[in-house]
Amino acid sequence: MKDREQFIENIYAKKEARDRSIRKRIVAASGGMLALVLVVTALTLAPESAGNSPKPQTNGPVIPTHQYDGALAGDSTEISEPEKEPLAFLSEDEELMEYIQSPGTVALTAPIDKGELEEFIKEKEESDGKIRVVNTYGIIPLSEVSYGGKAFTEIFEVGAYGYRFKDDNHPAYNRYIDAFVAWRGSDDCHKIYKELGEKALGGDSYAEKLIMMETKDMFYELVWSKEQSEAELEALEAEIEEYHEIWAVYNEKAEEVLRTELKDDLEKLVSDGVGLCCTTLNGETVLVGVVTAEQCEQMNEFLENSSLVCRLIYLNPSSFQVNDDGESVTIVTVTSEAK
Amino acid sequence: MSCDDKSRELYEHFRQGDKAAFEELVMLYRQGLTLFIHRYVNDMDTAEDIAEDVFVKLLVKKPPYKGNASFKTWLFTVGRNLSLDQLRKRRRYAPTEEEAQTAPTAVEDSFFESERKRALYRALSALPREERLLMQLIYIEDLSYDHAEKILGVSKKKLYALSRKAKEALREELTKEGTEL
Repeated sequence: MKDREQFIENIYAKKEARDRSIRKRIVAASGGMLALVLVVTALTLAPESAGNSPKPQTNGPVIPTHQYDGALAGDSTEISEPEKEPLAFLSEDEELMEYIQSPGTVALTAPIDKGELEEFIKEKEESDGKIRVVNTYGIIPLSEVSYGGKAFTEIFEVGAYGYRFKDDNHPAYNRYIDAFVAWRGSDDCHKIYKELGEKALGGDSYAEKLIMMETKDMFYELVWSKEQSEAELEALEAEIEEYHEIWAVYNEKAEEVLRTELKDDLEKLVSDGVGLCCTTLNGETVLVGVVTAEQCEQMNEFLENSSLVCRLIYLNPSSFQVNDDGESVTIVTVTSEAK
Repeated sequence: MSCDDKSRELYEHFRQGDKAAFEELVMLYRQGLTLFIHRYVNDMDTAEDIAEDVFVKLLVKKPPYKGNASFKTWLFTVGRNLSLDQLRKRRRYAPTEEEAQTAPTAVEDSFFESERKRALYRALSALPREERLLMQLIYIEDLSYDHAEKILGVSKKKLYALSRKAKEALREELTKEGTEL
């Protein structure tokens, strides 16, 4: 048996690690939420057909696009005339274009850590060679997103609380909230939760974790109601409470975002050292989350060592065009012209 | 000062941020909790690891104190649940009866004050899992059936049935050792 000092020391160390992890998740969750909001609003305005390579919107004030950094070259590059075509530098930069057009069919969303992701993908590769998209925020029915859905072989939508963010001052935002709520009530949604529940009951710890991030009601209703004893439910509830602690802060943060202009928040993210992370999907670069450059680098490190042909691109938020037309419309997609 | 009074006082200090009080609380409950968890996971290192996690939760949650038995119930319930999580991770829900083991002798030595309890603890290994856990809570941890019900998540009716069977088997086992239940 460990001696007293060692035992106590371990408790404090674990507590500290837990606190750090929560802080990290809060940052990632609040950032990721914003990113997905931005993707949806961008998609709302984008042409329906994915193959048409939607052009970036140019109405409204533009945040100058001068540079990108991070995963590709690790340096900064001056971009000419960003005001006319804020993202044109992408198609003008051959090396970058080659980079972002590498085939790959993985979309990643924070916050799943590298280990979890690795385990998950490995498991799926071994099972049937398909790669799933795990969207732990679950606020966008990806199956309904034209260009995203095509590339994904399977989609899990797991998330919570989207409806809480509805805000009459932001009609564009509300549109997707409505869509989300409708989707949550749909058979498809229930089917996904049921499948996930079955996986969890079958011992799939990843599925279990994802479910724990879901609301209690859904959790009880579809997954554990018949199978678990009350004590087990209580224990799981305690675990869920922990997630709720995280989500509570995340909600607060997201509401705060809604009360301000997204542009301002992007600027804040910049000052916080956070950028947007993109990946390639069938030749298109798609925003998948808000991460730090370091996180992006870590993800790439993992991807390079995997059998996946996919890379993430860290974009300095100054590369994004932010519209300010009264509907909080924000364009952040980065699209490539060539196929 | 009774165990309950001591525990209450320590807990109050702990809730006020007294680190030393927390550490004393840990030492007060650590061994019993670890032995209980060991009954699930069958491995002392893992049991200690889980016991640490239980105390981390205590640090974080600081549940309201409603008496020693309730506090103990909280600790053991969390311990049980974390153990089940651990077993799920291993993708097996319970050790087989053949695998059920007692804790290392050194741990027993430092925990059991009386030879009778030690004999009892060892005899428990002969019982099926649910009975073993119940008897450990009742006879080793001196908890009531009400508390055992909460910790184990088993109905009172079932608990009594388990208890009857367990006592019978225990008596038989202990008689061989020359000890009484």
